Amino acid sequence: MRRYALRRVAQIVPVMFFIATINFVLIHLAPGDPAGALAGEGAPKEFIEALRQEYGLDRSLLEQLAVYLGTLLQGDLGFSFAYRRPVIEVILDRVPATLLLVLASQIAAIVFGTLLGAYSARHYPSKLDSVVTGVTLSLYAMPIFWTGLLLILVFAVTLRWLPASGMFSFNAPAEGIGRGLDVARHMVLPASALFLYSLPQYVRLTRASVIEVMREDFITTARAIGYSENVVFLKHALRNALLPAVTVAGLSLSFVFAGALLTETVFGWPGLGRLMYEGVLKRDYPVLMGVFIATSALVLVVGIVTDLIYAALDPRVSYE
Amino acid sequence: MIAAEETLARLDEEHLAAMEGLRRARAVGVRAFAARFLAQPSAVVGALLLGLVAATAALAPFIAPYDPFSLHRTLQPPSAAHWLGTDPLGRDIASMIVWGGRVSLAFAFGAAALSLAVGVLMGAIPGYVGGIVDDLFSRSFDTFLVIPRLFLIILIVALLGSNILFVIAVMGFTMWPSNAKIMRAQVLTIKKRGYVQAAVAAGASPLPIILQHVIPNGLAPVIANSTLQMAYAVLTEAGLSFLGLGDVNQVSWGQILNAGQAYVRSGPWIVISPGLAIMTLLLGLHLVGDGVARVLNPRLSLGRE
Repeated sequence: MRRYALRRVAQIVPVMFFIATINFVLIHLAPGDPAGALAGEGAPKEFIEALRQEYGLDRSLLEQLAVYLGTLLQGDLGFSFAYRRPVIEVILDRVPATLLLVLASQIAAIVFGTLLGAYSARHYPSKLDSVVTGVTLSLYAMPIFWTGLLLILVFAVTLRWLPASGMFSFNAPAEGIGRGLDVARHMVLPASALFLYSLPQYVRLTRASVIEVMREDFITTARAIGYSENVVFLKHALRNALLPAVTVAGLSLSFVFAGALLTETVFGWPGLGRLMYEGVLKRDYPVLMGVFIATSALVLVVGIVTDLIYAALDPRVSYE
Repeated sequence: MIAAEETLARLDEEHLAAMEGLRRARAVGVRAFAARFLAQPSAVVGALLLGLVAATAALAPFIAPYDPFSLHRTLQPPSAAHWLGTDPLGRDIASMIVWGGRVSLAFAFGAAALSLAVGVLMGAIPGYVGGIVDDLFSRSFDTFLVIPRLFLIILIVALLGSNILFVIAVMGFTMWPSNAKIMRAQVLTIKKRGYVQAAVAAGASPLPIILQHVIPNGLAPVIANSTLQMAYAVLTEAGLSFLGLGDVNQVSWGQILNAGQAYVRSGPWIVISPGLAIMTLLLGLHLVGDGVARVLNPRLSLGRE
């Protein structure tokens, strides 16, 4: 188990190297001067000149790449002129909000999605199953930012039940339960958007795999032995059908973070995605590149954690 | 290419006859495929939805009530003059929706076709060659697949520009790894089959074998994956335009949503119709995709049979 974990962690290195190289290539492809891309728009001349010295932009490309990778390895993602702070600080401020939103919505989506998928498969074929399939397909076809706008239109603008944007109220208590409740109230709509966006894949997957498993020989055997239909379903079919859902949870992370980016933009949720959007508006390239690196790292780390949980749950996974 | 033609010329007649048989089998396959596809009501609905979007986009100059860039009174609710109202700049939303379909379809077909071409070659050639080359390539697909793609695309577009053709190319070149992975899996089984072994024995060199036998026989699941890729391209374009990274010389559904998001209170009609348009296209793509997948693998139970 420990060797498996170490090997998975070691896989981060080539991927991060690749991502850093993509950034480096983009800096040099950008129109104008690489130092301009490293600085972002609106930076003064002296700042750009300092960057040119720091990153050795008068030297050969290979040397420049080495310097750039070295800087990144020290955790230095550059300096955002728009925020007048190191990029890494700006990013670390935003990570908790994104993780909170992603974890809450994904746990809900996995739990409800597998249950609904299994329930639908249990009643397959029937009218109920067709309704679930139809609703899932429609949700699948809704762009997440549009779902977000509709949620705002209904629950914030028309019904006035929930706040439309942000994470805190101006007059909210600074700490304690009051603050937690205030954040929770702000989180309901964005988390619902992300939940509705992720739900269909779990419903579809669980439904398909439960229907498939119900056709297997061991299910027929269990029925022939005389187990009740509920026992067959819960103990044999559902258990075997749950594994693919966990696998997909790990595989779809970059898709979830993309959804989080758009959701945070719609709801002004102060996470990494919203930071990316602000970076686009301000042409703050160091922040854009920093968020790309940070999100890649998050996807990798959360992916490894998911894999390790999966390995711990399923004894058949080999650690070699 | 010349070398490839010479090799083909060297193939003996027996082999050519075998290929002819294969081609005929494939033609019958297409007819059976169509029949089984059309036997599914949901797939037919999907095809009709796609047809609706395609016809609207193709006939845009005749259907659109106004020039989508022309300005009228701002923030008009739906009326007889403006069926879907006007946006904060005074553009007619119905006309923008009709013309915007072209951008979405250009992304769907352009990006998916590019991704198909690159993915098939990147999967088939290393997969056929095998060894270290194959190892290196499949590792790089896996690396590519974990990268948060939307963040990368936003970064590229923000740094290098949002010209529509450029963005389609960026999408095509970032989407191919899943096609390559599927193609590679296909190649690994196909290269062991009799007709490929026969071509090798007949002295054909690898490239014509890959192009003539391996790729055509492994293509079906990759094409099924393409409907998903088209949906992804449509969604990503809409997302980019929504974030304000669309091509300013085009009208797109995402751009209407971008213009309308600050007016959810005073002009809710602005954001309703473009979302419905995106949904229609995506629903069509998903239903057709499920239909194709079900014909290819009858054991699948994605929806009601």
